[in-house]
Amino acid sequence: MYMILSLPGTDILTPWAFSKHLEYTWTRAAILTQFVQAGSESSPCELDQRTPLLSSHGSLCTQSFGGTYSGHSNATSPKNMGHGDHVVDQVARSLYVGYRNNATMDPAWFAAVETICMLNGCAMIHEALDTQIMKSYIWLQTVDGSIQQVEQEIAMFCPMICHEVIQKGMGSSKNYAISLPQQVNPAVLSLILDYCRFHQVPGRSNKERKSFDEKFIRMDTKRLCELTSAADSLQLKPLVDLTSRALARIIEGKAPEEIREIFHLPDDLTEEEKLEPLKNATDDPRIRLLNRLYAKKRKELKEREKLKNVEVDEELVDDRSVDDLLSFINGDDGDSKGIKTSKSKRKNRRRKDLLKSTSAHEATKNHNKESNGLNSVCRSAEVGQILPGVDATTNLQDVEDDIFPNKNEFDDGDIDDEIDPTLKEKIDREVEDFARRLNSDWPERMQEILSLGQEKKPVHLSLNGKGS
Amino acid sequence: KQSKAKVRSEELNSCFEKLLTVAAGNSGVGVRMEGAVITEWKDIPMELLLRIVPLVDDRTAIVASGVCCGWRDAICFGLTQLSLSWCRKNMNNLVLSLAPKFTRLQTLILRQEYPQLEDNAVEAIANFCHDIQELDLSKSFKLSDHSLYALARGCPNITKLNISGCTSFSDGALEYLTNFCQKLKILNLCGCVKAATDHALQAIGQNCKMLQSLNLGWCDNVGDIGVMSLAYGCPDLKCLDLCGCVRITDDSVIALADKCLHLRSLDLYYCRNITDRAMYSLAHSRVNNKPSLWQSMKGRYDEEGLRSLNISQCTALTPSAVQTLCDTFPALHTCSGRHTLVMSGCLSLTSVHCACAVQAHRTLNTIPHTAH
Repeated sequence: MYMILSLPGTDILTPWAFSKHLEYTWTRAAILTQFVQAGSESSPCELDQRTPLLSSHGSLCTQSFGGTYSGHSNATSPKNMGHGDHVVDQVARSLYVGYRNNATMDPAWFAAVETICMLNGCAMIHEALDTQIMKSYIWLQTVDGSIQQVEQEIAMFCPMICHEVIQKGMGSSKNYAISLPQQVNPAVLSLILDYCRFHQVPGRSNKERKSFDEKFIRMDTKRLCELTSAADSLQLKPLVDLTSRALARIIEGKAPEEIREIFHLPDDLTEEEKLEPLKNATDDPRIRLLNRLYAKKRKELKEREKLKNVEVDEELVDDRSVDDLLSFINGDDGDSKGIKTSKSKRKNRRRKDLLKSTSAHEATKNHNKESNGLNSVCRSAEVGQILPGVDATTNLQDVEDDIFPNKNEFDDGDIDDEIDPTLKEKIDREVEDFARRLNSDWPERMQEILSLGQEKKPVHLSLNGKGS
Repeated sequence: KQSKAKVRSEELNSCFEKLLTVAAGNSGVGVRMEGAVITEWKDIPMELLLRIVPLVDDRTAIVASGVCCGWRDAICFGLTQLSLSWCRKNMNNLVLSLAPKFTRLQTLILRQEYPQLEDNAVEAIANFCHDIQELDLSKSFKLSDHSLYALARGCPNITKLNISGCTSFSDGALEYLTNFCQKLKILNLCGCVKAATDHALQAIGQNCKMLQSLNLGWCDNVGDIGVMSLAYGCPDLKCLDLCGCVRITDDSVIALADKCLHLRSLDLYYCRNITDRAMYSLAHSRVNNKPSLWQSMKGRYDEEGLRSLNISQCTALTPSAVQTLCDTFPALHTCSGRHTLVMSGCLSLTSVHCACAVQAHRTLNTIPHTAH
């Protein structure tokens, strides 16, 4: 007698026939138990040679296993049903345990086991099997080597994974986990799975999906780039489109330096390339002047950088001493005020330095002198005015106003380094801007460019809207 | 010319590869090349950048090409479509600076609101962008024949050319162009009065065998000889606009009806010389040329025939002829929904109706009045 177990929905024995079989197949149940155990321990099964029971990687296969067990005449007696029950229960448990231990289970076996359980009232096992087995998982391995299992319907949303599962049969167990492309690290994978988890549910309205997408896309640019690469490697086109569009929106309307900043790109185009359009224009002495101006600006910036670095070193020394003095003299009350004023002092010092340095290299020397002088002025001011707390600050303000008439030009802020980069940014923007203007607005802008030094605000390009 | 282009692309490829080795050295991130595709480059891989660039507007694409070497190379390598119609003053300089960079352009739209483009820019395009297939130079009033000569030499792959409004082109230059650009499928010569002469049309008929769409609007030098040579030379002709070509007579239409069996759209606005003869010829040619049943199954026979016809101001036409035409071509409609048979200004033709208009009218009358 043969017991053929086939895929659910096709050729399953009727319950009656099945139970008839069971009457005669309690030994088969024993066989089942044996080879399930054999499967998890990978020891050979001492059974009929004609029954290949284990596939190469330890999964139970649907095989028709034959052999008459005529020798077991007591199988026919109804008494053996009880015995059979027990064995079946054992089988079911073994299968369940085997599954839990990550042995691969063919869905057909589970269907069969479920039927057995139903017929024989092993309700508990039935339930356990139902929840565990019917939900199948796919095993994925990310580039860092970590392996995780993901619900089948979610993972199969990605065409690449789907392909691996169907065409190559991968992903069925830990040992046979699908290796994901190198662009997919665990963090990005979890994002992608979130996306898949939402969208694979068929019953969602377009509005819901759209609103999910909009919220989903809100992340920093670096993460967005990673996500785009990863989605592309998994061939998940809807997500690639979504992220591409988001990145396109980020780039739109930005100047080259801003784009460089966002994507951490090197500033490796030569000045010549940036001013390239001029190469094609007539050979004009004004072009050479422009190149010179640009180079000069860059030089100035570098100088300022150097100064700032020097300044920082000196400042630390200075500030510490002032602070020390203040805290020593003031104690608790004047502390906050003292700190504030010292901060603004730092700013003012720098402002003054920047203004000074535009003229010449001597600025370095001047600056040192200045800061020292300032420091002593401030110190004496502080020391002199410590006791009347309110007066101290107002007096200091007056002092500052005298020395730094251009205070209002810059923004006040709590961060010490804000002024320098702002100015640098401004200059950078100016330079980039006129390079851009040269690209498109060349003849008209020549005058403006020549009077570059007097320009305060970059004038916006008067280009007509968007091209398609 | 071709070897020059090859050398350039080789140059570009080697530049690409050099850049990659530099980047690999600097960034510490592995750079892989699979064939010619780079798979890793800092934050955005190049093939993804090329997926993003088509999504942004043209100005941003140009700006992006000046961000860094990597982006410049990727965009110059991958950008195939560009429109500069948003330029108001400096399109010429922009083209001059971009043509050498974007050598792989296939579609370039340079339609101008204000005339800016000059010959040197078109020459630059012809020198660098040999892959151009679609070029729109409409309203380039400043261009001269030099541009056409340059295009002829540099852009042999052009399939779609729009030079409408370029009034300074002469027919000699256009003939020269057609000699070299034989792949032309769509040509717009609307308003090119000097260029669109019978001579030029003869050249087109001889050289541009793949022509499908031709716009000769307001080219009043066009006569029967030109259109007839066109009909004989371009059997694939589907759309022909003869709006304002006042010298045309029935002979042109008869030739078209005879030879251009795929004709779908015909515009004869203001062609006062057209009479019923032309209408009947169109109708008859369709009937005569209808193949047997099994042949039509093959799908070569255009089931619908004429889909659009404009005979406005063709006051010599009579209702019977036009009605015959309307009946022969199922796609010609006079009903408000699909007004494809346009007869404005033909007061005698108000009685002509398409089948569905008649049907609607009938249905309206046959509905029993059960209201009360």
